[in-house]
Amino acid sequence: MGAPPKILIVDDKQLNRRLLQRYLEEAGYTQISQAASGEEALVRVEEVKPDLVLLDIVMPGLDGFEVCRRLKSREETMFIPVIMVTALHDRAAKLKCLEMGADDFLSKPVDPMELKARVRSLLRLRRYYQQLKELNENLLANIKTAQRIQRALLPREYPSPANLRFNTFYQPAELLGGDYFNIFSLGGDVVCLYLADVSGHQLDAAMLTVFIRETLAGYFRKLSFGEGVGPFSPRRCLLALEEAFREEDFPPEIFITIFLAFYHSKERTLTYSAAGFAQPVFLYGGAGGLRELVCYGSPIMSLGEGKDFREQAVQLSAEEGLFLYTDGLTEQKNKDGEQFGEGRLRALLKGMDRTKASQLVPSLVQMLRDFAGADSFSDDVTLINMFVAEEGQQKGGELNDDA
Amino acid sequence: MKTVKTDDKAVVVIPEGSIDISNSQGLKEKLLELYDEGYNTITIDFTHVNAIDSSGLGKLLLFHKLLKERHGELRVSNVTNENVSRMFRIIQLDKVIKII
Repeated sequence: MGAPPKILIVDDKQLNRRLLQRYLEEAGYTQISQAASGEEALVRVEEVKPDLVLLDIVMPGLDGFEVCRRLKSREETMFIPVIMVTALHDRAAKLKCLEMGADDFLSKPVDPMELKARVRSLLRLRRYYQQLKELNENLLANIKTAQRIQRALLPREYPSPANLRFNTFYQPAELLGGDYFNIFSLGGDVVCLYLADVSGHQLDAAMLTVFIRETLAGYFRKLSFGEGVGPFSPRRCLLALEEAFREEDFPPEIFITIFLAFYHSKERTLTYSAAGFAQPVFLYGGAGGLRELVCYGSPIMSLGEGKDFREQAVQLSAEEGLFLYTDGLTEQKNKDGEQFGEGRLRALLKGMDRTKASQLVPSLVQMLRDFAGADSFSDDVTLINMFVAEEGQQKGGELNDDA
Repeated sequence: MKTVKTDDKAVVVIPEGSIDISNSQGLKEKLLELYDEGYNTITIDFTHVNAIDSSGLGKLLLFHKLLKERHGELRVSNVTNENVSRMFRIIQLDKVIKII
């Protein structure tokens, strides 16, 4: 902001323009340009991009009111301060100036001291505004970088032992998300998958999702190097995550909810453990109808005594698929304030079987969009569908998100 | 949001409807005000609460911690709504916050 401020003087009378220019020069301003009509003023504003406009009201053609109205109605020019210079002393004219968005008035004959004071104060405001705008743009650029990093940390392809397939959907409510998931091979036919939802969904939440990823990745690295972290289990993963969380001295109102499972695809056994994961995880498409896994366990947080987590196991049939989601799905409201709820999800899952499994996530996303009446949702939404492809079905593990 | 002062150290807060991202800041401000006034036992009466999301839960945890640090207590009472009750059961909130 070191550049000298640019001022545009608009008046149809040359004498007035010269006088104002002289006053401004005496006050130390050097970047002054002039326009002799409303029409010329609009062209000059485009060319010069002034930091302030001194605008006469009564001019043939476009008058000062109209020029002001046009400047204030366009996004590129609306924040340029406008001082109306007027011989009109009546209240109605001043009210009209305000209505058109003028920032200040000066009465003719213009007093040089008053001119100097008003110009200086509006230019100062303009400078503050531009600093704020720059800060805001920088912040947004940083958040967008963070968003790219967060996206890059999501898995791009999924392991597919024994015809196993994954379909996912991930869409944060804002640029950054408080949801995170990962799916990766633990070697052989064993796959680890987890889905986490942390409190909040801004920078703090996004940072916490990176903490989860790094902590768990570090834990698995230690395991693969055999560094004595004990037997391998979902419960132990959560204990390791909780231990790391407590060491960090995070604020008390933030916490992690997570579902973490190991799936042995040959034996079709799922071993899982959860922390604060209040929504059920579904097994659909089986002969016995829809099954649901209730996942007991406190959220991971800095409060309370050291907790333990339950570990459970379930055997999937050859037909069954696994579906899990974050509560942004069921808590999405429609325009009447009604929630999407679990009922609609259950109904869809009840009608699902292996032949349609690859359509589950896209159908559900469409249903949710129709329900919300929008393509964006009020909370982060993540959906994960795991199923066994029929023989000959193409591998299709693309990240099915909004990007 | 109604509050009922039961004695100089104890107060009951009675929120209504859903405690979620859209209004949890209001609950936080209310609780902070009571905390600053010196109430050491704050009970959140859930009689009229039909839903709570993670931001709401976060506020409860925050005040649980603040109160505990000065030997006070945050309690939750009258969880009547089935969904809220199920959620508290699954996430085992009773291991952290006293539910009466």
